[in-house]
Amino acid sequence: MSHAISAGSPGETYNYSVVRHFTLMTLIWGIVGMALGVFIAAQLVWPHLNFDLPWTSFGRIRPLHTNLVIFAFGGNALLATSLYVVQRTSRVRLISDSIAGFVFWGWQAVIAAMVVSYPLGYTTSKEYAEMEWPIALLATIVWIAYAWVFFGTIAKRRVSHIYVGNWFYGAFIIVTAMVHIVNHMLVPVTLLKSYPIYSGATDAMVQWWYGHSVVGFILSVGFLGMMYYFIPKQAERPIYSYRLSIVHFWAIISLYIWAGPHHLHYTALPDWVQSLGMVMSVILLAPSWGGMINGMMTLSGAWHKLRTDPVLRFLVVSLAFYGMSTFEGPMMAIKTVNALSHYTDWTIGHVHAGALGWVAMISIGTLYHMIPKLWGREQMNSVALINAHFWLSTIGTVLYIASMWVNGITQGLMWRAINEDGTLTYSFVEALQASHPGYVVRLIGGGLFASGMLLMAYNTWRTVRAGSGAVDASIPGLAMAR
Amino acid sequence: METLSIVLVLALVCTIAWLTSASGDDAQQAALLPFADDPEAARRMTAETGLVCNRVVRPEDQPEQAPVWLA
Repeated sequence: MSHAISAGSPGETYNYSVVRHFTLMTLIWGIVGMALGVFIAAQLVWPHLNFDLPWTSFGRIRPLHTNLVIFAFGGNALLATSLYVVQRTSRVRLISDSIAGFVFWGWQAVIAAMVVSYPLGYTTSKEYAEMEWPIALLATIVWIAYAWVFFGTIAKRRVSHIYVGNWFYGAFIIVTAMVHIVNHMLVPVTLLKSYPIYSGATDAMVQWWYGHSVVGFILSVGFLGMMYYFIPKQAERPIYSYRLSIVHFWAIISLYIWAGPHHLHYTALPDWVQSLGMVMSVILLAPSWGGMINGMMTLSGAWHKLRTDPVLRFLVVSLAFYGMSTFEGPMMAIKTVNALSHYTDWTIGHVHAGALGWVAMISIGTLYHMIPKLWGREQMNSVALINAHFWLSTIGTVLYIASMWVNGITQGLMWRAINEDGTLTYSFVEALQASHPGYVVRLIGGGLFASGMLLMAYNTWRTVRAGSGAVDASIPGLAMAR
Repeated sequence: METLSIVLVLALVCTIAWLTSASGDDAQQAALLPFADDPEAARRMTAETGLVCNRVVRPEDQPEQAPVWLA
């Protein structure tokens, strides 16, 4: 491993402008996406909120909620942080400001197109891949441009070693492109209608190979890239074991892509494929926990900082939720457990343990770390508001996932209960009635989490307004020291 | 299954190759990269852990002193 760092041009700065744009849009889309989640949670408590209108019905708003929180909130967070981290760890400006600008506006156009088309009913009906072919095509072009900016910046780096966080971001970019393209192989019929080239069980398999890879490579690997840079920076400790981070990287990218079939247990998918998906999912526990422990142990000797630093608390608690949901996932992939959990609210609870507890909380902690630096402040305007946000997020997540566990197990047990004569003990409506209290608690939990985002928006606005304006930090390190 | 085996073997070879080629000091310096362009954070990290980032910039090498919040 070489230590070489070459010289750059005096006065050269990082491109923080595009990072600022992505950061603000992360906040805006986060609020919109989570507010929609609260709205559809309220629809399950009070069905009249569907308003008997097709475009406000649960079936149309729910995919918009999932796409906004994954691709708009999560996507913008990953774009912001990856372009920040790749510049700082490579010690160069992005390879092209104009292409970076295109990536920003192109990605927002993709999101805007989803916001318009989904409520109108124009979707492929494939989960997390609902965008119809013109939007999918635009997303592909934008993603290729993003890959060019990211890898182009790495190619012209002044630091010979590529920091491990960039490896994770790189894998996220490549695999997301691959699964998006393969799953969107289709035949356009009209401008807004298409059919996949796959059919039957093959179509289902490709869809869930894609679906689980979105979980694996966007919501896990991408955010692990975030973890490997921002937890050491905020804790002011290097990552616990760099060697473990390398093992973690190779293990997780080798395994995640095989776990998709666990979404199709007890279906027309060949039984051996289901079993393979189950086994690979269980094995996945090892690298997931290896990474989680590596992040947690980074705080060795620095645990006292959690008392005074709510940003670090966000980051560490997110790892705790990551550990919890990556234990729960492999367990739910076991066929006998899945026989109880599948199609119930347990799955929704599991997803949100990851989405709220891991993805959103590590993004929030990371944004609180970055925002002052991007707008020329030493810290956020109000640390007390960050603290309040932390507790709203934590309590909201716990209420959400606990209510869905109770609901899920209740539903699973009621659906499978049979009388001595073989008839069902409970009707579906009875199970639905039993779920209603859980839906109320889930609404409260989701509402608490979303209200925390409003605090963050206010705190960010105050920070930006009080800051010395948008700043592009100069690129240091033109000479070796010590 | 054949593709799976190839991917797993490749991953194993790459990992072993890296782990055996990198010395303990190399790995430690790689882990300290996030502090290399941030002298203030690097100084605090060194004070707390005793670890020294060899690639950290000297503030005096900069054309002008960057404020803490720019680092």
